[in-house]
Amino acid sequence: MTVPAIEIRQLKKRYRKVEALRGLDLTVDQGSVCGFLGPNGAGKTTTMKILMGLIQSSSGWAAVLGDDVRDAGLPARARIGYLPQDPVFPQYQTVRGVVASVARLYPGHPRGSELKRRVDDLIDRVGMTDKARRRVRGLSGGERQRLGVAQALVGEPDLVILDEPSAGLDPMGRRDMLSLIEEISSQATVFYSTHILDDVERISDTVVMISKGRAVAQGSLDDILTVSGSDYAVRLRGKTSGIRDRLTAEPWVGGIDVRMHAEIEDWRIRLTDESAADRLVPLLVSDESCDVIEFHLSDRRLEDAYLDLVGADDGD
Amino acid sequence: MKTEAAALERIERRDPLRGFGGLLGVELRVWFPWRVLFLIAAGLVVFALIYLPWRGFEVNQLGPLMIGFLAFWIAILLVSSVALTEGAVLGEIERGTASWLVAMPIARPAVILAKFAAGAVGLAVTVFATGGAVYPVLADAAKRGITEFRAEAVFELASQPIGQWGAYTRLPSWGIYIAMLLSLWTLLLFFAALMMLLGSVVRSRTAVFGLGLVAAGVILATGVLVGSAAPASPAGIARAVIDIAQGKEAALITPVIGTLLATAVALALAVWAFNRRELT
Repeated sequence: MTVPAIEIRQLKKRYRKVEALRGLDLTVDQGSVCGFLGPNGAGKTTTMKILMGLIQSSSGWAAVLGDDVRDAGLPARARIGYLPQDPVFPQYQTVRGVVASVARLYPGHPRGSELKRRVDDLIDRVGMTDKARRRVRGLSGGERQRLGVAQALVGEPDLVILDEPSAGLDPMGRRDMLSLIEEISSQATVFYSTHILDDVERISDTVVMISKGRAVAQGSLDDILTVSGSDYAVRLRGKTSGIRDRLTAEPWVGGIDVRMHAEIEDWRIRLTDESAADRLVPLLVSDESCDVIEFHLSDRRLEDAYLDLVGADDGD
Repeated sequence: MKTEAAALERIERRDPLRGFGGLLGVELRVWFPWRVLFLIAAGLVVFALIYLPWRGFEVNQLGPLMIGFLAFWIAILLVSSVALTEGAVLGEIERGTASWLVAMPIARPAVILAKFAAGAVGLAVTVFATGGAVYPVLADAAKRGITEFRAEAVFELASQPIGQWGAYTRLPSWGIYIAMLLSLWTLLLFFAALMMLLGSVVRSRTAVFGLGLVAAGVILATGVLVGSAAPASPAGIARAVIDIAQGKEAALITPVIGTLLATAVALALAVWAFNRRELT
């Protein structure tokens, strides 16, 4: 049986008066691209730093590639590539110099022309060939981010942990970064944090949502969308206030978003209980003061699931 | 991707020096060439500022030249060491480069030891290049002091043992001079280790800098100005060097051994503290 790339059980971390992690559980399977989602301060960076051995958990257990992070040591770190949230490199070094010096720190690294080839290849993959001789101090935030990805990959890791890889990138840079992550995923497990839900939908096969130091949902994208409920799109004409009040009072209705266009209203009804869908249509058509023009299952987006799951947790 | 299993097997789980060589190369670039050139230039400027007026003295004596230079040089080296190393550890932690480094297959002790070793090399080059450049001038000055006659010296000679006062300082032999420089280097090593320790324990760079200056002040006060330093302490080295410049006999072995022990303890504590430090 293959060990998970990342396994975390009841992980807690307290910084003096702040409880950053409150019993986090998560599993990331090998070969997956896992998006780690959560609002600011939810504990994403803390989790990644614990996995990298930069800080220690207060209690609980975490393992990367089968090794307990408290005892993982150097061999485990040699198999992980890491991009910190705000990557910082020696200012006087060139892009090529940074990648080459990091490459030399990994076991079994190539030498001579083979090292140069690998370094140049990586710089090319992150789209910085024309900036290879530029010093770090002259790079923009986005360029530093791309350099960060290059150095994270230079050890040919089995697991790549990226802390907000597309933060601060312009749309073109973000697109390139997503392509790069997709490319990496064919060779390594990718665990990355982000706020950009569209990115997760595009490249992730699994998602972990975290809020207030706990996982509120995890699984495949489909699982997440299903678990968080279903949305139905309804188009109505006529007097709708009555039916809206009746629906809102139902316990299986999570909420109704309304858009008005002249005499027509578009509703998006969120059901917290999928089985209640059978009761929705009879209820809608029972109101004679309005007509149901359209009714169908809406394409649920990750953003909806995120707002439901994380928003509900915020309301605790 | 997949790192080769054989290569991974070569890494010991707890190899405390893993990555030392690579990091040393990076750290040496921090010291060479500009830091070292600056320190050498500072020492030579201090010497020139003392030597040029000294040449205009009516009676040239070696003592004031040597004592003046060594006292100011020690002060400059100590303060420069504090200024140049206060951010070595804490600065890296604050900037985030420390997190970046230890996320790679590098042992945390290697980070501290590479910084210390690079500083040791930089300071050795500084001390021996400056000291070596100054020695021929001191030798020339010694000749001037011996060849010129001073009437008062005859009376002083009658009442004081030879070699007690700066006026009768003799040029140290090359062997003693090198031993002096080695001792001075040892004192700077202690400071480098002390700054590593402070950087690993304290959370404010201002506090690290301030504590380093206080330590330098204590060594200068007890070793150079008052001369009350314990022989087996780092300040004892400063005291012994000034004693030799004054023509007195001074044992260097005791303060050097004491200082090396203090350096080893400070370095071990720095490694221990950095190992436990959370890189948030």
